[in-house]
Amino acid sequence: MKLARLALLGLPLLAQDDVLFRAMRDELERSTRKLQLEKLDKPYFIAYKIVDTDSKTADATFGALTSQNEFRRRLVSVEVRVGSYMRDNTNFFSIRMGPSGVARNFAEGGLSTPLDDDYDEIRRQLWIATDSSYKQALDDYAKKKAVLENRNRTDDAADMSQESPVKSKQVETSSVVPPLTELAAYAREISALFRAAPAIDHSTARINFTRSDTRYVNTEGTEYLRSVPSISLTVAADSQATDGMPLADAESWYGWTLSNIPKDEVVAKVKDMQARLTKLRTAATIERYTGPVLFEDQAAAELLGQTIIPAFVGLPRLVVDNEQFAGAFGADQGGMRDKIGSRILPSYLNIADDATLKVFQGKPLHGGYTMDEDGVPATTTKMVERGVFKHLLVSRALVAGAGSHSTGNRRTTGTMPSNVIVSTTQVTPAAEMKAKLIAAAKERQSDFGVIIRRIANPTAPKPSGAGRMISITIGGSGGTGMTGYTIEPVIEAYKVYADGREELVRNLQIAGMSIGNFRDIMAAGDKPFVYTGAYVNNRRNPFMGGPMFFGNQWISIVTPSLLFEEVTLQRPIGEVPKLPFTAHPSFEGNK
Amino acid sequence: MANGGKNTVIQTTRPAALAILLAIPGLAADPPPKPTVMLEAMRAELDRSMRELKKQPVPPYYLAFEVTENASTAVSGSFGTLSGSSANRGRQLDIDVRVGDYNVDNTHIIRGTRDMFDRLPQGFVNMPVDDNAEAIRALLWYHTDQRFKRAVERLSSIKTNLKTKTENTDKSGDFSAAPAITAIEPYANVPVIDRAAWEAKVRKYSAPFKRFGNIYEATAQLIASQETRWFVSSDGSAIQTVQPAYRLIINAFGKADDGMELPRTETFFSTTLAGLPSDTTVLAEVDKLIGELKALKTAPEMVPYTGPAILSGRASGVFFHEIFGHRIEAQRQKDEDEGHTFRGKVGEAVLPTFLSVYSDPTTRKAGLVELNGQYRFDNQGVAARRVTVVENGIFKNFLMSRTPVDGFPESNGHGRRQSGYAVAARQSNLLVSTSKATPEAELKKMLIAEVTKLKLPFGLYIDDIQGGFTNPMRTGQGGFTVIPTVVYRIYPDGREEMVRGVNLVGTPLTSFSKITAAGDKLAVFNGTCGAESGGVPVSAAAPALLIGQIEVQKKQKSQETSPILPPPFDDEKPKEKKQ
Repeated sequence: MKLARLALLGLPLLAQDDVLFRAMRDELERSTRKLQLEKLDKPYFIAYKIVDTDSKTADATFGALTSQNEFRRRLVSVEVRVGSYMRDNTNFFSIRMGPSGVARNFAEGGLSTPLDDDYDEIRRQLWIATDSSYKQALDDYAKKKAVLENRNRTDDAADMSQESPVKSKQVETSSVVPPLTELAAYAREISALFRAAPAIDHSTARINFTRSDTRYVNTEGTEYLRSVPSISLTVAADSQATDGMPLADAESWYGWTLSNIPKDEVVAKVKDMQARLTKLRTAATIERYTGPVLFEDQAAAELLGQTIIPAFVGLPRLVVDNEQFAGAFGADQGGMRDKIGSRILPSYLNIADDATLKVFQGKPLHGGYTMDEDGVPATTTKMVERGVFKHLLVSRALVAGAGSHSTGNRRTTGTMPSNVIVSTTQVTPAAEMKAKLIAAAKERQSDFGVIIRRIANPTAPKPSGAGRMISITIGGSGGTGMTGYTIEPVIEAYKVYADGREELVRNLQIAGMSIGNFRDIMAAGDKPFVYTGAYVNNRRNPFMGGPMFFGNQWISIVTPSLLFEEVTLQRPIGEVPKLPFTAHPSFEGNK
Repeated sequence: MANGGKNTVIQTTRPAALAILLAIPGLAADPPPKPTVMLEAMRAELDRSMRELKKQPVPPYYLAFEVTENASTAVSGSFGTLSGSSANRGRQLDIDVRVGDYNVDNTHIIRGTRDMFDRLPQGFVNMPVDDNAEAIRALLWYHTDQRFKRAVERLSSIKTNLKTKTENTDKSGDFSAAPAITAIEPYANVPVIDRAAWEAKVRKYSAPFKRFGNIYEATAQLIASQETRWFVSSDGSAIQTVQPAYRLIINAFGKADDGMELPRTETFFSTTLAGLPSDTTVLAEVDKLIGELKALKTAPEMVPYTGPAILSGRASGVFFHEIFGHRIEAQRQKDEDEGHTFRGKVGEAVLPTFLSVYSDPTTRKAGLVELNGQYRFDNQGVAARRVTVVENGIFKNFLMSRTPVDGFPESNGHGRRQSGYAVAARQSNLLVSTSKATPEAELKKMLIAEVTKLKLPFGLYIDDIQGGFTNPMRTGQGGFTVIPTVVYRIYPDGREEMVRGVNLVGTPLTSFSKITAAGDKLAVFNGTCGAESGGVPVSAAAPALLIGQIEVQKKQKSQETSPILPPPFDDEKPKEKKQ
């Protein structure tokens, strides 16, 4: 792996002869100077972003390729603001009918634009996109002012923070851009491992390589170029327990080049997954359990990633012009803003977000960057210090009472974490963690405690078809966790008896967990587990103007194992699908 | 044609494939086409599934697999630059599993409960593009099991429902029998396209639009595609067909100064690469589009008008496809929520006696133009055939899938879908023909005579129609709107003047009854039609039509005005001089 990183600040490092930058700067200059509709406000801020994406994907099942795709695309997005930093057209929700103006081919995240580096054509596209965005901004600003005139509002956060202009460059050069045929061969080979797994009904392997080059300029003088390659492999499998309950598991690998995903490691982990699913088919179930639970390694990371970590994201309250939608879109008061200053964890735990890190104890992290989408330099934010909640993660859209600057956390799909590091000043060795679990169970007069070693990631492929799912309803809104988190199914858990014996259990759901449970963490382990996963940004403000990107971003989480005093687990409620009526054609008479 | 379960073997030799084979030295004759690994694997898994599922308490009475391969190369240009270039190949699976019997099965429409889930796409299942029988069969097994379980559940809820709901007025069953067909065309590899040459072409075709600031979108897209379909059913059918298609689509979008949107599109279609138009032809067409957009920008806006009009052949084709064609798709007679325009009209006059209408997927050309709606077998394994819909003005037939309606118990080869959707009766090549052709110059004279007689200031000539929408549902009053893009006023002195902002509205049967004459030249519209079973390739060929009375309304204007600033390339250079 050869990675070079350049981050030179304040220098004219963004090549002057780069056609795209030239077109962006020139049209930005013209728009700043001339763009004004009649006597209405001129824009006070304009930003242009052009993202070039080169993507290759191969999918395979059971040793055969099911699809291979490669595409290149270039998206232009424009952000135009009218009003002032304090109060502008953003953070406003109103029903609108499609994009404004003559820009018609808005793809997700921007205006799709030609791939040729043609100065005139890029400027033409920027011209049209700027015009549409400006008209939309004027319209929103007028509507927003009308709403605010009729309401008392105590929220005094600025709509956009003031940041110092920065010129920066992050170019990750990887020596190898894998040809699609190589990716296809890899996916085919990994998927063929399932030909030796009669207990698995269905499996998929997907490998994707993406390189994206982002160019950004704004009227404040900030410019950046970011060029980042990424590669990921996801292997998913599903089956049914002998009583028909659905079982699914998935494993993902992340890196910059294909060499970051060593085949021998993948093969070993896929075989582990096969063995795990095979054992789960005949494992026991638990009707309901309330008591101490030890979340180990991957399970601790996924648990945090689906519960309190998203709640650290602070989003501004939206002004909503329609009472019907006020409840849905205006209710988010800025994440856990009201909890700032409260103790939410035991005093020996700290949580920080650090986009500047690339490795942790020699293991790669994948959530970092040099500058965020707004061009704000990556920083370290200490969200929780000695158990007390201190800071939200915010973009330039500020949250009242949560600082006056961006924490540099605007990523393509919205404001979100980067590398989250959970650290403890009081470590408990693994054996002692288990002993504590057993002791806590005994105190509750329970025959056993529970260890959870694996929880599904929300983005993992779901088994297809209605015949493979149990409909269940647990927990409340994902959101801030005040009313209970929605957590993906537990994949691997064990009953732990007094003598230390472990018994595999399957099909468990974590029920009714809320922020309060985290204060009662009893102990943290001595080995930080480094985990990368796809992050679902479920706290993105919808329709708030500006570009919206769909798709997942990666975040890395480093956490020790965590012992919780009380967690409720239960088996899924609902109709259990039937087993297949015929045997798998390759394993007839085998299962 | 049903012949007691005995297979109808259709011998096939496709001219294109034959030509290629003969070009290879040493190959004396066309070798008999062999079933591919895909077809063999599908047949084996279908047989095994039927054998095993027959043991279930509610066994399937019919099972079919269809795999559709789409291999395509597409390049697109925008204002002289390359905007996209891709090559893709994918295969998708469709499963039709039926439990119950031909009369009532799991696809039965339950009255009063628009069963949304069964109308939505059935889900997209990617099949191996590698010829790997084990992987193919594993996926067929996995998805058949899921579909079968759902079919059994649905049949059970249908049976409960039938006891509590009033009966449908249509008493026909849910599925009809069809003869088994074995037809295997040779599998052909994906046509190899010189991507660089095509990229140069789309840049060239889209470049002339660049000079005009009020043209905001201008694209040229070249697509080479090949659809290979494999179909097996428990009837005993096994079909493998290969259909290449080459398309060029030119799209431009401008605005008038008052913000009115001005869209223009031109498409070319052929089943061979050589059939695509030459650069000279395309560039002439581009010039014509630019000329029209320039003229439209300053053309006067149309005011509401009722009076006579001529629809050009191409406009007539779109008009018939939208207003007539969707109403002859049989399943609309079955759904109680649909308006039944032609129900009970069999044997009655619905058009003037000089007009006949056919739907014919077996016709490959109308005049010199190839037709986009051609196929040999529909998506339910039924052989395509020419259907006489209207003969000398008299309504004869609906377009039928294997879903029967009262009085029409069998399919006539029009069960179509885009992969991933449930089959419905859809149009193919809609051919409007006349027994009394009037030269087009004569039509204009007739129009002027009519205008003079009615003391109207002008008549209309509708040259092109962008498309339209028709609401055949009962709640929608059955009206239609079509959106002409190029319209001229014809004055009594013969002068022509372009106008813009016209919507053509009306009710179908009334409009058809007012057709007074038809032209002597066929024009073809090739396109893709989107409806409940997805997008399917179609064409419509028709002569120009003189309609005694049509009604046009003002088109709704876009809220958005033209850009505030002039285009960058018009702004900077001569700026100083102007001021």
